[in-house]
Amino acid sequence: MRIQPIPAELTYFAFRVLERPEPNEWFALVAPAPGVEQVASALAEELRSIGGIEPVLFNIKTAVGIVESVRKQGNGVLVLSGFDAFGMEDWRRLDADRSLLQRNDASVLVLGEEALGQLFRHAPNLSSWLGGQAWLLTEEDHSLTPEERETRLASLRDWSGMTDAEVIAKAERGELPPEPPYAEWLVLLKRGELLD
Amino acid sequence: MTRRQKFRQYMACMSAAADPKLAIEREFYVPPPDAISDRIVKRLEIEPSSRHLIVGSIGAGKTTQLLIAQKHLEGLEDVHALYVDVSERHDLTQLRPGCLVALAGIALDNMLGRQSINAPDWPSFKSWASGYWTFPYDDYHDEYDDGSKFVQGIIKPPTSWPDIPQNIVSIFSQTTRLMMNQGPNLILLFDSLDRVTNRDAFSKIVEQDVAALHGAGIGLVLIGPIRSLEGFGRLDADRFDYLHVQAPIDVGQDEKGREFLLQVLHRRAGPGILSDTAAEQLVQLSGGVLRDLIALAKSAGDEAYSRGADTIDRDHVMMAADGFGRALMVGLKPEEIDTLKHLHSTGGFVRTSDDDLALIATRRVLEYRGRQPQYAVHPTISHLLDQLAERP
Repeated sequence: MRIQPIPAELTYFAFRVLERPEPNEWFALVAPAPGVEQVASALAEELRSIGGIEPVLFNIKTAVGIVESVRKQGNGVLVLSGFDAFGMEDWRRLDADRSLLQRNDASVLVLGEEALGQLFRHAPNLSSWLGGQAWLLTEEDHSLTPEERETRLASLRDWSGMTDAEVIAKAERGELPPEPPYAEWLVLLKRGELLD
Repeated sequence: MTRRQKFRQYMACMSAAADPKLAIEREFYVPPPDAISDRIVKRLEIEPSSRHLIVGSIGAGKTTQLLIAQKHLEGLEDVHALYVDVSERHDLTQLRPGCLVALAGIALDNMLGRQSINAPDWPSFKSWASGYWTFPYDDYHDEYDDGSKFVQGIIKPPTSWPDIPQNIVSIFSQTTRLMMNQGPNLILLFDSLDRVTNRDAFSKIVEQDVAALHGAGIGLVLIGPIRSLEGFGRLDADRFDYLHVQAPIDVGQDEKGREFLLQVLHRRAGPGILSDTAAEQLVQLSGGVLRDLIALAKSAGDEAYSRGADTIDRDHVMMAADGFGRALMVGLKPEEIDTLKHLHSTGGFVRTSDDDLALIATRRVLEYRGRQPQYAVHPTISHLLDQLAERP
């Protein structure tokens, strides 16, 4: 038996990122090693489509590369990949440079499970910033039970004063405000295609 | 205030990775019982050139204590206290003797600003510390059209400089003593040296730079690696006058510590969102590590919000702890899992190898400092170890 991070579907993970607009939030998304780059691109697209933001995507080659990229992009959501080629020295270097990685927005590391293990082993200072925000990408959404989904929908109806049908109608007319809770609402109603 | 606004406000206050300066500015700081910053300030008030080493686990609040100490010291009329995050100014993987002396000199120079240091040899010190430009025809390599080139200073030193040149130590010492004769005492607070992984480099820094700064009559507070408590690392700690350990709080034994952690949560959460049961549970599951407490509180807020709840309750905390523990378990080697299982089931843990130390450094094992160190697995991984024990 192996302990893995909590599974999360891409859209659900994107909501988590968007709902944390505070300075220097760090997340890790574990993806199958051969497809990490594609997942990073898909996540950036998801963030764009749900949150109406323009995330910056970097494929990092070296520890120095990540510091330079982060320093250039103090603001806006960063999606970083390329860590699967990192060795112990790269992680240690990154850990030593942690103070230089402080940002004003969220940063997401998309990486394979082995690379995440290396991050925890060799970069304990940086990994402490994740604070448990490591997720395992899955196709299916295991995050909410049907009861929890209904509770969440009820709270969204309460928050907006609209019904499900009204939200769908607004989305079909392209009049839905570009706020993450509306996107989440459509996803919970299994009408995520209206976000495209 | 809408539910979303209420949760957003809560989340904004539970930023575990935010710069500690920001948390102090926002008045989130709660003094821990017997705060290290208080002890250091009291000592420096009467021994302004004393040397202090702070060590402790990641996320225990070392930088916050350093910043609070600086703030209090700056409030004294006869003291200048300068905070230097070494990792922001210098590549820690290139640590060499002289780095702290160089950074100290640069910090002094910056502090004085336009009123430059009035010592004839100071320009030589600055060139040594920050580098300097040469001009054409001496060792000509064309970097720019005029042939000038930059000679790197100590901040990126060549490997052929194993020690601090004695003339530099003399210039620094004479200049700072001259300044202190005319004005306030200088105290330097160096952060981030706990991240140095090269033992020899750290030992050399302690042996040469700490000695040079002390010789110049400067007070010193430095955050160093936790291995300074162990074996040969103890020799480094012995070069300081005072050693301060910022360990996790043993929430099962330390009532004042537990109250402190609850106060931290209440100060940040505000009223009406975090139930008392949830707060108690968060303190328990944090293992007494400050950053983990705040990170768990935030994740619990995430869970409550995404499940449509109005307040954060015990179940949300348990879900947050499960995610936290799962992340903490990633990448463990089978023998490390065996060590954790053994500690969890018997309470036995002996620090004999680098792997054992790594378990502490990565907070899978928490070390509580009392008369005798006590060890425990991080509370968020306890139930996961139970699962592993049931299904090997």
